Amino acid sequence: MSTARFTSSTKLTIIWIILILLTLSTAFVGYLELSGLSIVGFVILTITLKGQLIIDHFMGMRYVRGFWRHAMLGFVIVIPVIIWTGYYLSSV
Amino acid sequence: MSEVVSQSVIEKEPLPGDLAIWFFIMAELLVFGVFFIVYVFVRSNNLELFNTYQLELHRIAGVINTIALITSSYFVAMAVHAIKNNDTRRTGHMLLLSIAMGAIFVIVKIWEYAHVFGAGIHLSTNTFYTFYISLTFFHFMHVMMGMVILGALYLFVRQGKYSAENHFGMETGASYWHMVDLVWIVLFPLVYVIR
Repeated sequence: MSTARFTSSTKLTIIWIILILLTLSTAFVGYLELSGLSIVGFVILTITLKGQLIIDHFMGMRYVRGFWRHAMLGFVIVIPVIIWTGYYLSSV
Repeated sequence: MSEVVSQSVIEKEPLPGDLAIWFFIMAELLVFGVFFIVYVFVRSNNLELFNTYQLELHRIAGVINTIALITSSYFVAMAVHAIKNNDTRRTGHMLLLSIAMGAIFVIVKIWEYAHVFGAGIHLSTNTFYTFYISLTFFHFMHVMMGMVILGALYLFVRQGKYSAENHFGMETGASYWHMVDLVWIVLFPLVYVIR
């Protein structure tokens, strides 16, 4: 078995810290009860970033090319975009 | 030249774990994805109701649960990394820590449900709570199943069934647990935060 996709434990720890920081930024938005399209856009962006980090580094999909990686990334890109579009349409 | 060779090796990297789990994960993500889209559609027709009752949710509990699941996912990734280095002792420790984080999620969620149901709220209280309870409970069931899988992986590691050469089952179980985490990082902001 190749070791190309194996992520070092230090890298995994850095990814975990970034994920926690992104979560805390979303928590801050919730704590302040902020609303509005730009706030929704910011939170949506954190969802996509967190999803990409989990898929590529925790799931080990970074070097898996083709359908499966694209399908997984599709979930954290397409669904958040649809959510933002829904919020946009309901605000106009 | 060596870069070209290594790139071609990288492009041939196989999926981690069993192919069947990826069909299962894809099906689960599709179901949750449809659920999220329906939530947004229904919310757009009940804006005031959703914005009002969303503020009643315990957001701190949601944040604790998000941190617990992300950390649990991190420990599972560390466990897979450890088994690839043939460090079964560390693999076991990492799996125990991931189970502990999963247990924190379960305890906080049960506390949250006790708080909600204790206030006389149920599935048919209003449309927002119908979505909140059904979405979070559906996800909660996946967490419970994931905890059983993590427990089984721990037992197999203790029995010496996994090694650097043979950890296919471990990758399969880990992929499922990461999927549970992935769903929650969309569910939490959608239901608890954005308005």
